[in-house]
Amino acid sequence: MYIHNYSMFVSPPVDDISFYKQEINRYTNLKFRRANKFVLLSLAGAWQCAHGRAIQPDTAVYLTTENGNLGDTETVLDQIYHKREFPMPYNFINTMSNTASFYVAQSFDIVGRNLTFSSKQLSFERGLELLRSDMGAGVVKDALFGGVDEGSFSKSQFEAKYERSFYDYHMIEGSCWLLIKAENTGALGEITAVESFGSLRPTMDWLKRQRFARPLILSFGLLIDDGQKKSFGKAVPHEAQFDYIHSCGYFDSATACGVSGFFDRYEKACLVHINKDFRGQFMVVAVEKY
Amino acid sequence: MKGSLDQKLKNEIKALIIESCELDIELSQIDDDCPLFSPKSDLGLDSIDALQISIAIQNTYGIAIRDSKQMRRVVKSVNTFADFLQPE
Repeated sequence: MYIHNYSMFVSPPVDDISFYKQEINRYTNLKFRRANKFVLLSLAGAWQCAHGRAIQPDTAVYLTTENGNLGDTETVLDQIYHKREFPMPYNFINTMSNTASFYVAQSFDIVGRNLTFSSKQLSFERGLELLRSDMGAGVVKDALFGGVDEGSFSKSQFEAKYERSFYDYHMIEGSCWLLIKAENTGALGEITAVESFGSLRPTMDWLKRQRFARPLILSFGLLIDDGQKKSFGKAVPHEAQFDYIHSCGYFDSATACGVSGFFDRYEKACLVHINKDFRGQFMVVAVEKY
Repeated sequence: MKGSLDQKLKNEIKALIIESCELDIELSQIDDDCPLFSPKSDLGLDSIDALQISIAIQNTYGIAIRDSKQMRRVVKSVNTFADFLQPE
Protein backbone atom coordinates (compact mmCIF):
# COMPACT_ATOMS: atom_id res chain seq x y z
CA MET A 1 0.00 0.00 0.00
CA TYR A 2 1.73 3.11 -1.26
CA ILE A 3 1.08 6.57 0.14
CA HIS A 4 0.81 9.19 -2.59
CA ASN A 5 -0.29 12.14 -0.51
CA TYR A 6 -1.37 13.05 3.00
CA SER A 7 -3.25 15.79 4.80
CA MET A 8 -3.29 17.03 8.34
CA PHE A 9 -6.26 19.25 8.94
CA VAL A 10 -6.43 19.91 12.68
CA SER A 11 -7.85 22.81 14.63
CA PRO A 12 -9.10 23.72 18.06
CA PRO A 13 -12.83 22.90 18.29
CA VAL A 14 -14.78 25.53 16.33
CA ASP A 15 -18.58 25.80 16.47
CA ASP A 16 -18.97 28.10 13.48
CA ILE A 17 -19.16 25.79 10.46
CA SER A 18 -18.31 28.64 8.09
CA PHE A 19 -14.70 28.10 9.21
CA TYR A 20 -14.74 24.64 7.64
CA LYS A 21 -16.54 25.88 4.53
CA GLN A 22 -13.78 28.47 4.03
CA GLU A 23 -11.16 25.74 4.38
CA ILE A 24 -12.90 23.60 1.78
CA ASN A 25 -13.27 26.58 -0.55
CA ARG A 26 -9.49 26.82 -0.69
CA TYR A 27 -9.60 23.64 -2.78
CA THR A 28 -13.00 23.55 -4.47
CA ASN A 29 -15.87 25.85 -5.40
CA LEU A 30 -18.43 23.16 -4.57
CA LYS A 31 -21.07 24.21 -2.04
CA PHE A 32 -22.09 21.93 0.81
CA ARG A 33 -25.23 23.63 2.05
CA ARG A 34 -26.78 20.89 4.17
CA ALA A 35 -23.56 19.43 5.50
CA ASN A 36 -22.88 19.58 9.22
CA LYS A 37 -19.62 20.06 11.08
CA PHE A 38 -18.49 16.43 10.92
CA VAL A 39 -19.16 16.23 7.20
CA LEU A 40 -17.35 19.51 6.56
CA LEU A 41 -14.44 18.42 8.75
CA SER A 42 -14.18 15.22 6.70
CA LEU A 43 -14.34 17.15 3.44
CA ALA A 44 -11.70 19.67 4.54
CA GLY A 45 -9.15 16.92 5.21
CA ALA A 46 -10.05 14.85 2.15
CA TRP A 47 -9.81 17.82 -0.21
CA GLN A 48 -6.53 18.93 1.33
CA CYS A 49 -5.19 15.40 0.76
CA ALA A 50 -6.40 15.22 -2.84
CA HIS A 51 -5.12 18.67 -3.73
CA GLY A 52 -2.92 18.55 -6.81
CA ARG A 53 -3.47 14.82 -7.30
CA ALA A 54 -5.53 13.12 -9.98
CA ILE A 55 -8.31 11.20 -8.23
CA GLN A 56 -9.40 8.21 -10.31
CA PRO A 57 -13.17 7.63 -10.75
CA ASP A 58 -12.98 4.22 -9.03
CA THR A 59 -11.18 5.54 -5.93
CA ALA A 60 -12.57 4.10 -2.70
CA VAL A 61 -13.31 6.10 0.45
CA TYR A 62 -12.49 4.65 3.87
CA LEU A 63 -13.48 7.04 6.63
CA THR A 64 -12.39 5.84 10.06
CA THR A 65 -13.77 7.52 13.15
CA GLU A 66 -14.20 6.78 16.83
CA ASN A 67 -17.31 8.87 17.40
CA GLY A 68 -18.72 9.78 13.99
CA ASN A 69 -21.38 12.43 13.72
CA LEU A 70 -21.54 12.98 17.45
CA GLY A 71 -22.69 16.61 17.40
CA ASP A 72 -25.75 16.03 15.24
CA THR A 73 -26.64 12.80 17.00
CA GLU A 74 -26.82 14.75 20.25
CA THR A 75 -28.94 17.44 18.56
CA VAL A 76 -31.38 14.86 17.17
CA LEU A 77 -31.72 13.08 20.50
CA ASP A 78 -32.33 16.44 22.15
CA GLN A 79 -35.02 17.29 19.58
CA ILE A 80 -36.79 13.96 20.07
CA TYR A 81 -36.52 13.36 23.80
CA HIS A 82 -36.18 16.77 25.43
CA LYS A 83 -38.01 19.11 23.09
CA ARG A 84 -40.42 16.33 22.01
CA GLU A 85 -40.25 17.58 18.44
CA PHE A 86 -39.66 15.85 15.14
CA PRO A 87 -35.93 15.92 14.40
CA MET A 88 -34.97 18.44 11.76
CA PRO A 89 -34.39 16.47 8.54
CA TYR A 90 -30.91 17.89 7.88
CA ASN A 91 -29.80 16.91 11.39
CA PHE A 92 -31.39 13.47 11.04
CA ILE A 93 -29.81 12.75 7.65
CA ASN A 94 -26.41 13.83 8.93
CA THR A 95 -26.57 11.31 11.78
CA MET A 96 -26.48 8.46 9.25
CA SER A 97 -23.10 6.87 9.78
CA ASN A 98 -21.92 7.02 6.18
CA THR A 99 -23.13 10.52 5.32
CA ALA A 100 -19.66 12.06 5.54
CA SER A 101 -17.99 9.40 3.38
CA PHE A 102 -20.84 9.76 0.90
CA TYR A 103 -20.25 13.51 0.70
CA VAL A 104 -16.54 12.91 0.16
CA ALA A 105 -17.22 10.47 -2.68
CA GLN A 106 -19.88 12.68 -4.24
CA SER A 107 -17.67 15.76 -4.11
CA PHE A 108 -14.90 13.98 -6.05
CA ASP A 109 -17.42 12.26 -8.31
CA ILE A 110 -15.95 8.87 -7.45
CA VAL A 111 -17.82 5.58 -7.31
CA GLY A 112 -15.43 3.17 -5.60
CA ARG A 113 -16.09 1.26 -2.39
CA ASN A 114 -17.36 3.60 0.32
CA LEU A 115 -16.97 2.68 3.99
CA THR A 116 -17.27 4.36 7.35
CA PHE A 117 -15.41 2.33 9.90
CA SER A 118 -15.17 2.40 13.67
CA SER A 119 -13.45 0.07 16.12
CA LYS A 120 -12.88 1.19 19.69
CA GLN A 121 -9.58 3.10 19.94
CA LEU A 122 -8.15 1.30 16.92
CA SER A 123 -10.43 2.55 14.15
CA PHE A 124 -7.64 3.87 11.96
CA GLU A 125 -5.51 0.74 12.33
CA ARG A 126 -8.40 -1.70 11.80
CA GLY A 127 -9.49 0.31 8.78
CA LEU A 128 -6.01 -0.09 7.32
CA GLU A 129 -6.26 -3.84 7.88
CA LEU A 130 -9.48 -3.86 5.90
CA LEU A 131 -8.00 -1.76 3.11
CA ARG A 132 -5.02 -4.09 2.95
CA SER A 133 -7.27 -7.08 2.40
CA ASP A 134 -9.39 -5.19 -0.15
CA MET A 135 -6.26 -4.15 -2.04
CA GLY A 136 -4.88 -7.67 -1.74
CA ALA A 137 -8.08 -9.05 -3.23
CA GLY A 138 -7.79 -6.53 -6.05
CA VAL A 139 -11.16 -4.88 -5.39
CA VAL A 140 -9.58 -1.52 -4.50
CA LYS A 141 -6.69 0.09 -6.37
CA ASP A 142 -6.84 3.65 -5.04
CA ALA A 143 -8.32 4.87 -1.77
CA LEU A 144 -8.82 8.07 0.14
CA PHE A 145 -8.30 6.89 3.70
CA GLY A 146 -9.10 9.24 6.57
CA GLY A 147 -9.28 9.47 10.33
CA VAL A 148 -11.84 12.06 11.39
CA ASP A 149 -13.22 13.10 14.76
CA GLU A 150 -14.77 16.18 16.25
CA GLY A 151 -13.27 17.60 19.42
CA SER A 152 -16.12 16.64 21.66
CA PHE A 153 -14.69 15.93 25.10
CA SER A 154 -15.60 17.70 28.28
CA LYS A 155 -13.11 17.42 31.15
CA SER A 156 -15.24 14.88 32.98
CA GLN A 157 -15.90 12.75 29.88
CA PHE A 158 -12.23 12.62 28.97
CA GLU A 159 -11.05 11.78 32.46
CA ALA A 160 -13.73 9.12 32.95
CA LYS A 161 -12.88 7.46 29.66
CA TYR A 162 -9.09 7.59 29.71
CA GLU A 163 -8.24 8.01 33.40
CA ARG A 164 -5.79 10.77 32.49
CA SER A 165 -5.75 14.42 33.41
CA PHE A 166 -7.63 16.52 30.88
CA TYR A 167 -5.17 19.37 31.44
CA ASP A 168 -2.24 17.30 30.20
CA TYR A 169 -3.69 17.36 26.68
CA HIS A 170 -4.59 19.99 24.14
CA MET A 171 -7.95 18.95 22.66
CA ILE A 172 -8.36 19.46 18.95
CA GLU A 173 -10.49 18.10 16.15
CA GLY A 174 -8.98 16.64 13.10
CA SER A 175 -9.38 15.19 9.66
CA CYS A 176 -6.18 13.54 8.47
CA TRP A 177 -6.20 11.62 5.22
CA LEU A 178 -3.91 9.49 3.10
CA LEU A 179 -4.17 8.90 -0.62
CA ILE A 180 -3.21 5.23 -0.81
CA LYS A 181 -2.64 3.33 -4.03
CA ALA A 182 -1.61 -0.18 -4.97
CA GLU A 183 0.65 1.44 -7.59
CA ASN A 184 4.05 2.64 -6.36
CA THR A 185 5.01 5.06 -9.15
CA GLY A 186 5.22 8.56 -7.71
CA ALA A 187 4.60 7.42 -4.13
CA LEU A 188 5.92 9.39 -1.14
CA GLY A 189 6.19 6.25 0.92
CA GLU A 190 4.45 3.04 1.84
CA ILE A 191 2.67 1.22 4.62
CA THR A 192 5.01 -1.68 5.29
CA ALA A 193 3.09 -3.41 8.09
CA VAL A 194 -0.28 -3.44 9.81
CA GLU A 195 -0.15 -6.02 12.59
CA SER A 196 -2.54 -6.99 15.36
CA PHE A 197 -1.58 -8.67 18.66
CA GLY A 198 -3.49 -9.98 21.64
CA SER A 199 -1.13 -8.57 24.26
CA LEU A 200 2.12 -6.71 24.91
CA ARG A 201 4.54 -9.67 24.71
CA PRO A 202 3.91 -10.73 21.07
CA THR A 203 3.93 -7.08 20.06
CA MET A 204 7.36 -6.70 21.61
CA ASP A 205 8.59 -9.94 20.00
CA TRP A 206 7.41 -8.79 16.58
CA LEU A 207 9.12 -5.43 17.00
CA LYS A 208 12.42 -7.05 18.00
CA ARG A 209 12.39 -9.17 14.82
CA GLN A 210 12.02 -6.20 12.48
CA ARG A 211 14.82 -4.62 10.48
CA PHE A 212 14.37 -1.12 9.16
CA ALA A 213 16.00 0.29 6.04
CA ARG A 214 15.91 3.86 7.33
CA PRO A 215 16.20 5.62 10.71
CA LEU A 216 13.35 4.51 12.94
CA ILE A 217 10.88 6.84 14.61
CA LEU A 218 8.55 5.43 17.27
CA SER A 219 5.16 6.84 18.14
CA PHE A 220 2.42 5.70 20.51
CA GLY A 221 -1.32 5.90 20.92
CA LEU A 222 -2.92 7.52 23.96
CA LEU A 223 -3.47 4.28 25.90
CA ILE A 224 0.17 3.17 25.75
CA ASP A 225 1.49 4.07 29.19
CA ASP A 226 4.94 5.46 29.99
CA GLY A 227 6.28 2.07 31.17
CA GLN A 228 5.23 0.41 27.92
CA LYS A 229 6.75 3.25 25.90
CA LYS A 230 10.06 2.71 27.69
CA SER A 231 9.92 -1.05 27.08
CA PHE A 232 9.25 -0.59 23.37
CA GLY A 233 11.99 2.02 23.18
CA LYS A 234 14.48 -0.42 24.73
CA ALA A 235 13.36 -3.27 22.46
CA VAL A 236 14.40 -1.60 19.23
CA PRO A 237 17.10 0.94 18.34
CA HIS A 238 15.43 4.13 17.21
CA GLU A 239 16.34 7.67 16.35
CA ALA A 240 13.47 9.51 18.03
CA GLN A 241 10.01 9.27 19.54
CA PHE A 242 7.41 11.35 17.77
CA ASP A 243 4.97 12.60 20.39
CA TYR A 244 2.32 13.82 17.96
CA ILE A 245 -0.35 13.89 20.67
CA HIS A 246 1.52 16.60 22.51
CA SER A 247 2.86 18.42 19.48
CA CYS A 248 -0.43 18.46 17.51
CA GLY A 249 -3.11 17.86 20.14
CA TYR A 250 -5.51 15.02 20.87
CA PHE A 251 -8.65 13.90 19.12
CA ASP A 252 -10.03 10.38 19.01
CA SER A 253 -8.60 9.61 15.57
CA ALA A 254 -5.20 11.02 16.49
CA THR A 255 -3.35 8.01 14.98
CA ALA A 256 -4.21 9.43 11.56
CA CYS A 257 -2.57 12.67 12.66
CA GLY A 258 0.49 10.71 13.80
CA VAL A 259 0.99 9.13 10.38
CA SER A 260 0.36 12.37 8.46
CA GLY A 261 2.48 14.28 10.96
CA PHE A 262 5.34 11.83 10.40
CA PHE A 263 5.18 12.49 6.65
CA ASP A 264 5.10 16.20 7.33
CA ARG A 265 8.00 16.26 9.75
CA TYR A 266 10.49 13.53 8.80
CA GLU A 267 12.51 12.74 5.67
CA LYS A 268 13.68 9.29 4.57
CA ALA A 269 12.65 7.52 7.75
CA CYS A 270 10.50 4.69 9.05
CA LEU A 271 7.69 5.11 11.54
CA VAL A 272 6.41 2.42 13.85
CA HIS A 273 3.20 3.49 15.52
CA ILE A 274 2.00 1.33 18.41
CA ASN A 275 -1.50 1.62 19.79
CA LYS A 276 -3.83 -0.43 21.95
CA ASP A 277 -7.46 -0.55 22.93
CA PHE A 278 -9.13 -0.88 26.34
CA ARG A 279 -9.13 -4.68 26.06
CA GLY A 280 -5.33 -4.75 25.75
CA GLN A 281 -5.25 -5.59 22.04
CA PHE A 282 -2.22 -4.01 20.41
CA MET A 283 -1.85 -2.82 16.85
CA VAL A 284 1.24 -1.70 15.01
CA VAL A 285 1.36 0.34 11.83
CA ALA A 286 4.74 0.67 10.14
CA VAL A 287 5.30 3.30 7.50
CA GLU A 288 8.33 4.18 5.41
CA LYS A 289 8.89 7.60 3.90
CA TYR A 290 11.15 7.52 0.86
CA MET B 1 -55.57 40.77 5.49
CA LYS B 2 -54.56 37.87 3.27
CA GLY B 3 -51.02 36.68 3.93
CA SER B 4 -49.90 37.38 0.36
CA LEU B 5 -50.67 41.07 0.99
CA ASP B 6 -48.77 41.16 4.30
CA GLN B 7 -45.14 42.07 3.52
CA LYS B 8 -44.04 41.56 7.13
CA LEU B 9 -45.34 37.99 7.14
CA LYS B 10 -43.78 37.28 3.76
CA ASN B 11 -40.40 38.53 4.99
CA GLU B 12 -40.82 36.28 8.03
CA ILE B 13 -41.46 33.31 5.74
CA LYS B 14 -38.45 34.14 3.56
CA ALA B 15 -36.29 34.39 6.67
CA LEU B 16 -37.62 30.99 7.82
CA ILE B 17 -36.79 29.43 4.44
CA ILE B 18 -33.30 30.98 4.38
CA GLU B 19 -32.53 29.98 7.94
CA SER B 20 -33.98 26.48 7.92
CA CYS B 21 -32.51 25.62 4.50
CA GLU B 22 -29.16 27.26 5.32
CA LEU B 23 -29.28 29.39 2.16
CA ASP B 24 -26.61 32.00 1.66
CA ILE B 25 -28.88 34.67 0.13
CA GLU B 26 -30.79 37.86 1.06
CA LEU B 27 -34.57 38.12 1.56
CA SER B 28 -34.82 40.23 -1.60
CA GLN B 29 -33.46 37.34 -3.67
CA ILE B 30 -36.61 35.30 -3.07
CA ASP B 31 -39.39 36.47 -5.33
CA ASP B 32 -42.89 36.36 -3.79
CA ASP B 33 -44.32 34.42 -6.75
CA CYS B 34 -41.29 32.40 -7.72
CA PRO B 35 -41.90 28.60 -7.49
CA LEU B 36 -39.75 27.49 -4.58
CA PHE B 37 -39.21 23.91 -5.71
CA SER B 38 -39.17 24.21 -9.47
CA PRO B 39 -36.07 23.14 -11.41
CA LYS B 40 -36.28 26.66 -12.88
CA SER B 41 -35.88 28.21 -9.44
CA ASP B 42 -32.48 29.65 -8.55
CA LEU B 43 -32.88 28.44 -4.97
CA GLY B 44 -32.06 24.83 -5.85
CA LEU B 45 -34.37 23.37 -3.21
CA ASP B 46 -35.53 19.75 -3.27
CA SER B 47 -37.77 17.36 -1.36
CA ILE B 48 -35.45 17.21 1.67
CA ASP B 49 -35.62 20.99 1.90
CA ALA B 50 -39.43 20.74 1.70
CA LEU B 51 -39.34 18.38 4.66
CA GLN B 52 -36.99 20.71 6.51
CA ILE B 53 -39.36 23.63 5.87
CA SER B 54 -42.40 21.63 6.99
CA ILE B 55 -40.77 20.81 10.33
CA ALA B 56 -39.66 24.44 10.68
CA ILE B 57 -43.29 25.52 10.10
CA GLN B 58 -44.43 23.09 12.75
CA ASN B 59 -41.84 24.29 15.26
CA THR B 60 -42.39 27.99 14.51
CA TYR B 61 -46.14 28.22 13.93
CA GLY B 62 -47.38 25.03 15.59
CA ILE B 63 -48.99 23.91 12.33
CA ALA B 64 -48.37 20.35 11.17
CA ILE B 65 -48.82 19.64 7.45
CA ARG B 66 -49.24 15.88 7.23
CA ASP B 67 -50.58 15.63 3.68
CA SER B 68 -47.83 15.76 1.06
CA LYS B 69 -50.20 17.14 -1.60
CA GLN B 70 -51.22 19.93 0.72
CA MET B 71 -47.55 20.55 1.49
CA ARG B 72 -46.80 20.89 -2.22
CA ARG B 73 -49.64 23.43 -2.59
CA VAL B 74 -48.58 25.39 0.50
CA VAL B 75 -44.92 25.79 -0.31
CA LYS B 76 -45.41 26.46 -4.01
CA SER B 77 -44.33 30.07 -3.50
CA VAL B 78 -43.92 32.61 -0.72
CA ASN B 79 -47.37 33.99 -1.57
CA THR B 80 -49.13 30.58 -1.29
CA PHE B 81 -47.21 29.94 1.90
CA ALA B 82 -48.34 33.28 3.37
CA ASP B 83 -51.98 32.70 2.35
CA PHE B 84 -51.91 29.32 4.08
CA LEU B 85 -50.64 30.82 7.32
CA GLN B 86 -52.94 33.83 7.15
CA PRO B 87 -56.02 33.09 4.96
CA GLU B 88 -57.89 36.30 5.82
